Amino acid sequence: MGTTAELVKQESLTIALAKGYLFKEALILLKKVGIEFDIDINWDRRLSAVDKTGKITVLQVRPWDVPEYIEHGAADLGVVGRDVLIEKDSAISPLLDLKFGDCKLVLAGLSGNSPVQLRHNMRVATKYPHSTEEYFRKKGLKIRLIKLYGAVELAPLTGLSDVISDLTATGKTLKENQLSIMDTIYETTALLVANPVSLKFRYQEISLLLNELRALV
Amino acid sequence: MKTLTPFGVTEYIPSEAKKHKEVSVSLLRVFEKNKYQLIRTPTLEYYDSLAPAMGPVLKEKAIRFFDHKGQLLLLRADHTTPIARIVSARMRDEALPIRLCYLDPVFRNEFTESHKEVEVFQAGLELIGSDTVAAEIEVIGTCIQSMIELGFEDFGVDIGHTRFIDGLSEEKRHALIKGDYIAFGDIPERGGVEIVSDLPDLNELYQGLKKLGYEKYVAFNKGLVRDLSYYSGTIFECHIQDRRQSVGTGGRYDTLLSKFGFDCPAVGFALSLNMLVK
Repeated sequence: MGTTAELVKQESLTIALAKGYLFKEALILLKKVGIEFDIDINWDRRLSAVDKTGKITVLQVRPWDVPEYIEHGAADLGVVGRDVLIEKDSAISPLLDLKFGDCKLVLAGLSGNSPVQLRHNMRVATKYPHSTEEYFRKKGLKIRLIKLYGAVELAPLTGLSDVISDLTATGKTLKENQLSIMDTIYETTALLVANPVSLKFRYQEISLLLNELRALV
Repeated sequence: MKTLTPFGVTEYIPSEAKKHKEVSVSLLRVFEKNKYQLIRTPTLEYYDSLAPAMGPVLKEKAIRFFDHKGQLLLLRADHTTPIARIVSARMRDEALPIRLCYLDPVFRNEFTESHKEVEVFQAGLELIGSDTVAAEIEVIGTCIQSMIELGFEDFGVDIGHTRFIDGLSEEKRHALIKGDYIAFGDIPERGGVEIVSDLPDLNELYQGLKKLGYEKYVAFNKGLVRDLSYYSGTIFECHIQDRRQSVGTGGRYDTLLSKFGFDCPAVGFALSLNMLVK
C-alpha cells in the first residue's frame, strides 16, 4: 500500500447485494465481469456465497440493511437503490450508477373526479419517512406521517391516510389500488457503493472492478 | 431503568478501565518522548469564544446549554479550537514551535443511528508555530509511531491536501468534498508518491517519512479533501484495516490561531480512543 508494491490481500472482497428486484440484475451484471456462482445455488435460501474464483463473497441482504453492512465494514461494496441511500443518509461512498432498477418515489392519492389537494396536516403513509418529510418541508407543508413497513398502497383505500409516498416502477400496483401519481419526489436506480476505508485498503481491486463495470453500464 | 446510562456514553468497569488506561499511557508516553507537553483544556467553554473558529459541522454537534447567568456554554467538542484560544491568550510569548499534547474526552451530539458516541476520548497533539514540511513529517511520524506502539500492524495513513481541488470545476469540487464519486465521475486517485509528483512539498513529506522507515504505512489520496475552511494544506487520516474504520484525523490549519488574534501556523492530529480500544 502506498509504494509501488501493493500488498496482495488474500481475503475475499465482500459485496452486499440488495434482496428483491435488484438482486437478479446485480448477479447478471457481476457475471459479465467474470464474477460467477455455482448454478446450483438456491438463492431463495442462501444468504451468502463465494464466487468460482474464490475472490468475491456475495451477501444477500435486505435493501435497508445494505448500508449497515457497508458502514460497519461487514461488506466492502454493495448494490442498493439510491432511494435507500437518500432515506438512510449513511456514511458510505457512492461509486457508480449501475443504471438498472429504475424506479420513482412518488406521491400518490386516490384517483377520482377531484384530485387530492395538498394542504397542511395531511396524513401521509410511507416506508420513506425521511424522504417524505423533506419533500413536504420544501413545500412548506406540515404533515402527519404514518410509517408503514409494506403494502403502503392499501392506506388511502382503507382510510388510513390521505395520500402515500411509495416506490413505483411501472405504476401498475398503484393503479390496481385506485391510486394515481400526484408528483415525483425523486428517481432512483441501483448504485454501486463502498465502505470508505475499504476504498483505501482495497483500492486497486475496487478500481479495477469499477472500470470493468463502468464499461458495461 | 435505574441502572442504564444515557445514550452515547459508557462506563468503564475495572477490567475495561484497565485497557483504556494502558492505551492512554502508551500514547502519552510516545507524545512525551517526542517532546510534547500535556495541556488540559476546560470541559466547559463559552460558545461565543470558540464558535467563530469552529466549522459548521462541529458547531452543530456541540452540546450547548445556558449557565445560571444566561450565558451560552458548550462542552468541549474538540481540542484544537480551545488550544488555539489558550495559546493565543497565555502562551504567545513562548519560544516557537510550541508542542502540546492532550488526552481527554470531547462531547458531541450525534444524530445518526450508527454514530452513537456522545463522549469520545481524544488523544492528540498540536505543533504550533512551524509552517515547514519538517513539522508535518514530525506530526504524521508521531501518529504512525503511536499506532505501532499500540501494537497495530494493519493500519494506514492516507495523505491528502487542500490543493487537490485545484483545477477542478465547481461541480467536481463539490462532488469530491461531499464524497459523491458518482457525481465526480470516478473514484479519486490513490497511490504512492508518484501520483503527487507535481507537489514538491508532498514529495518532501514522503521522503521524510521514508527516512523514518514509515513509507509502507503511507498512501496519497486525491479524495482526501475536506473541511476546507479549517485545513489549509496537508490533511491526513489514519485507519485500521481490520475494523474498516477511521481512528483519527489531522492536518495543517494555519488560519485558526489568527481567529484568536495570534497569527501562527499549526499542524496536529487527534486519535479517538473509543476507536482504538475495542
